[in-house]
Amino acid sequence: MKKLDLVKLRNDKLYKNFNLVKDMHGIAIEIKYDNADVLFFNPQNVGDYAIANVKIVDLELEKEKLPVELEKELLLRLDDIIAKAKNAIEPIKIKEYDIVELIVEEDRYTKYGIHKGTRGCVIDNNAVQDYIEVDFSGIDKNGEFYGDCISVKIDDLKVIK
Amino acid sequence: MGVFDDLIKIDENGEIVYNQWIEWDHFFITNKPEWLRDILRNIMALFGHCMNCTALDGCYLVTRNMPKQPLHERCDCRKKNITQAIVKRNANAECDIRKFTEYVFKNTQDSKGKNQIFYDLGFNIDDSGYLQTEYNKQALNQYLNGNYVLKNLDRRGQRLAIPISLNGTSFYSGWLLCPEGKIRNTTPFGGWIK
Repeated sequence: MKKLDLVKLRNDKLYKNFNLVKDMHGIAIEIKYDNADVLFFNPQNVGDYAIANVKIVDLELEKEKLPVELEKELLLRLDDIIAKAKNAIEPIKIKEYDIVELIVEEDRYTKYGIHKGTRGCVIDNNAVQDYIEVDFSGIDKNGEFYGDCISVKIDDLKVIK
Repeated sequence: MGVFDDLIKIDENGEIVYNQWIEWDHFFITNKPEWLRDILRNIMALFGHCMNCTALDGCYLVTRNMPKQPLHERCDCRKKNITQAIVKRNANAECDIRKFTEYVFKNTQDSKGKNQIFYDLGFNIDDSGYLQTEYNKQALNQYLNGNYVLKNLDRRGQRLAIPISLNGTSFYSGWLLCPEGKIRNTTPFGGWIK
């Protein structure tokens, strides 16, 4: 196993505290004797990641490789990536079918007619860069459709039920 | 069935429409295996690449009904021509039954009146299985015919409004376009067709 190899976690027993689960894939960014620092991406939130120290025996080497150009760029940015890394994968605090309320008034939402205090239903379990999909649309008393289904920053929402 | 039956059609307005399909391609992101695709998309996020573009990677669209390319300056995307046969082979529609059991039919307040639309059409929560099947069938058919409306495109992907007909009434449903011809329902009711 060497730096920037793609690996799969085959035994998650020792890593529950990091919220790592069996068969999760990651990138080995440092190999130290019997252990490796592995960059794992949050399966629930694209762009979110953690670096965990894992025993090499708990990892399986995948045959696929990163493209050479990406490897080069990753090496250049590695220090910065490590500096910003979390210690554990964080599950997102909102789940599908939660009823939520928007707690901010921002242009990125008001342009869709969605204002502070509007309630909606979360319609996906997976976030992208901390944004989750919420259906704020509805039918008014005249049978007219209003609102929209949009991406909302998780921190801009409060779970009602 | 003629050779050109899926490529050239007459739409509901009597107009000839031409369905040439493309696959949106952002460099370095592969379609398979899916875990590698996810890793590569995450790396692109770390490197500050446009997430709208990486969300579109691997998605199938008809050329007459797709986002403009390039999406922005220094866009790394291109389009690859693909055959209708590839689209038909890979495409599938996914509507979670909980869209009905835990959302639309929950109660009037949480569904914001959407439940009444379905009650008026003669459906209730016991019809969720039927509705799920019908949505998957109709939406897939419409998508394969290029009958979708492009809605918001952002880091989560390209949303589509796809017409659904139930008991003689037509309306839009909301879907998210995913790689390799998959469409996933976001909301069962996305507005009236005007």
